Amino acid sequence: MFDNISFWVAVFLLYLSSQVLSCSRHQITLISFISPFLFYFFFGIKFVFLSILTVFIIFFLSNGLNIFFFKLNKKYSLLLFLILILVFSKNFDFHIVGLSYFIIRFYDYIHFDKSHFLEANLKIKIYNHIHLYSYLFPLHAILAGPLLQYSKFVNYKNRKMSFLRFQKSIYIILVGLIFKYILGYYFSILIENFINNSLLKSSLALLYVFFDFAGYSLMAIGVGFLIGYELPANFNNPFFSKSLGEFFERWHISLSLMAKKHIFNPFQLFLIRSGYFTNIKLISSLSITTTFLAIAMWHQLSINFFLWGLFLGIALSVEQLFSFRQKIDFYFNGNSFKNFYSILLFMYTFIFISFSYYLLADELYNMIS
Amino acid sequence: MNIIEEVTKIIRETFDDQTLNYSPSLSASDIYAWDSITHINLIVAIEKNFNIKFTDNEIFEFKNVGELVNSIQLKLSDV
Repeated sequence: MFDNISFWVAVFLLYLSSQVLSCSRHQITLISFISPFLFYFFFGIKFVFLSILTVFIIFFLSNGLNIFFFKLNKKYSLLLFLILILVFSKNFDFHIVGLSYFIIRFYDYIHFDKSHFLEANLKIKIYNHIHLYSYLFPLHAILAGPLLQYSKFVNYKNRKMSFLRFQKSIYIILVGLIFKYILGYYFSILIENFINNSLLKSSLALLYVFFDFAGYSLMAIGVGFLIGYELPANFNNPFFSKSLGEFFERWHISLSLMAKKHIFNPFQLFLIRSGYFTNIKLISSLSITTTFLAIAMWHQLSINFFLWGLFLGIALSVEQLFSFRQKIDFYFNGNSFKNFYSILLFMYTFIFISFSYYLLADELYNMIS
Repeated sequence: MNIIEEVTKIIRETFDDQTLNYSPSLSASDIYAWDSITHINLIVAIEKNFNIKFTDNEIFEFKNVGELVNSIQLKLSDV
């Protein structure tokens, strides 16, 4: 999508309009109206039809559902619809672009609790459903972009367009371009042609995935800045992490936050409230492993991904059992580059993560080539 | 015993630190042992003590002890 000229023309037009509309809710409305036309160029009429139909169905389900004697409230009727989408896409040729990311956005929308938010933002229902199109099918982040939480989407504030903002977004987009198309490309060439050692290959694949995905995320974030639809950061120097736990707070941050909110926290709460478990370390280990397995299965339903999730889940649980992170934080006292040991810990994290990529070898090399 | 005294007692027990004192702005960043797991323990202990129940959304949105106490007061006045 980012290598298509018509996308950049549309971004430029939206940037001009954001000067007039000063990045307000009207700007998001405009994006909601323009995106289907642009998606038509990229993914075809079928996708546009399905995406608009999806938002329409959500609009009708938002009052709940009455099937003869059964009454389903909003949350469960939407959940039912989500399951239907999953079943259909699995069995029929029902293609929603970026389905896996769409599912997470949809789930976050279902679990959005209205009661905490500004009345003014929720006054006109239909207006919000026009916005919902922008939320579920964001113009610049539809394929894999950073996942914005619905609560943040609803609560955005008007911002002034300035030259400084323009400069900043161009800078972010350029860094993204360099990451994805120069460095990412460089590593993909290296992996395909020159390296034979499989362990070294997997650590290079880790670097490739980082540059490719971080570059993509940066471009999406930069475009968001430009057109007045901001997205959260996705990477924060992940290779400068002193433990595996820290790594996943710096790697694909938006997904980690969603997983924490929708899997880790509720599952842990369920375990504690159920009363069967009293050992806190055991409870958190179980929650961590479950979360990682769920994330792995979300990536792809395959045995390799299952093993990858299990491996990382157990590794993080072991760190948690020994309170590894707390000890390190206490020792370093917030200063990452305190001394030589920090470099050793960076290496420990890098080696562990690249070993986990070793388990994904087949999937990764398919993706690269 | 009023709510603040009881909450202080529960906080001291949960974080295993008898020197902690109540203040409305007391938050996770002030207490070393306050992480996502002890947070849930604290909430469950408070629920048992006051015989109330928080929703999932409420549990993860308390920013400090002051908000927690306000919420407890609201719940107790409802009943």
